[in-house]
Amino acid sequence: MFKKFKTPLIALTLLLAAIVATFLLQPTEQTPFEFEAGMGIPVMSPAIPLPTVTLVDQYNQAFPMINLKGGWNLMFFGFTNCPDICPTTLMTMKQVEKRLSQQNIRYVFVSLDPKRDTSDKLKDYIDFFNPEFIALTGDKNEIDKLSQAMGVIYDFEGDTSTDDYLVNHYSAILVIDPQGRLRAHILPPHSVDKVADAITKLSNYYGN
Amino acid sequence: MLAKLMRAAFGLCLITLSVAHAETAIEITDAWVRSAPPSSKVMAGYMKLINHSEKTITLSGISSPQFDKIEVHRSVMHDGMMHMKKIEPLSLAGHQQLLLEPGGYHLMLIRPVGAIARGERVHLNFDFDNGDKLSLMAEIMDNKEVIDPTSEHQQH
Repeated sequence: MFKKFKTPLIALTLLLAAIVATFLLQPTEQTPFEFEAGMGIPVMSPAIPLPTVTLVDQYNQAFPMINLKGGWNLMFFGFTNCPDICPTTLMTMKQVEKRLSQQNIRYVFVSLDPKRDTSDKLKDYIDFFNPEFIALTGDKNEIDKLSQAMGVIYDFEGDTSTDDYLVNHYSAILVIDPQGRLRAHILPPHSVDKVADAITKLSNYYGN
Repeated sequence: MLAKLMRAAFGLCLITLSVAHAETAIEITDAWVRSAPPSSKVMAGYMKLINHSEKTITLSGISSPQFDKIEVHRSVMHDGMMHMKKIEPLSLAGHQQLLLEPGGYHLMLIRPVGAIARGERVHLNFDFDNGDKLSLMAEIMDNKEVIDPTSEHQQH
């Protein structure tokens, strides 16, 4: 009698184990955090992994995107010849850093204008705001791979063979989670309160 | 004593200069320039322009001895991108007030002649088509300080 049921019982157990394992192992996305409508902070669910890209930092050192893992990051794309939006946003990020200095957050500026923005230029530029900030430039193809994956659109206006051209660009601050994934966009206008509140709520909710 | 007097006189000049509106139809207040890294080739200036007259008045020229050239631009969100649009000419309708502020209208100060640092001032000259000529000093600041009535600034 018992022998007769042994094989199907094992099969059933294995099947149940497989189902449970599938549920446990599948990276189930928790209920996405939602900001109040009108706040202009869309949250990605699931989060979008950063592409495998290596840029160059302000010390002329290779900077692979995996360096952004293991902590929350605020990332902004721009160019150093940008008079209004970029200094405004970096000044906001500087104030956010002052307010949240206890939290382990990286602040990253990525240049969309590698032709003019060399490592040296970026060093001088970022030091003015906060020398602890990370400033990245590099190969245009690598920058494009990153900006495309992050939804950061941009184009050049004017003659790029001269020095008198501008870069029109997406100007949200991107929130990158400790797993190296794009978790949210913080759309402009950026007040210190809005940015500090967004990163604090997201890191509290999703953890480290 | 003499130094003190000179300082006071100089301060008075600056006050007169920074509130540029005497007998003119155009008034410019709250002018400031965003501080920038020393190697910056561009900076942004912000202020409030007021046309006290009935008529439309157009800005015909802006210059500064500290910059190669100055243009009026506007940051505009378009198709998800922040664009800079050159505003030429900039006209103020009768009784119009126009705020130049971060993320909106601004002066684009192009190619500083020398290094320009925080705490210094930028001398700006404005010419309008009604004949108004305004000259003012804009302070270089990290951010426009919002005047908080409870702050000790007010109690001085």
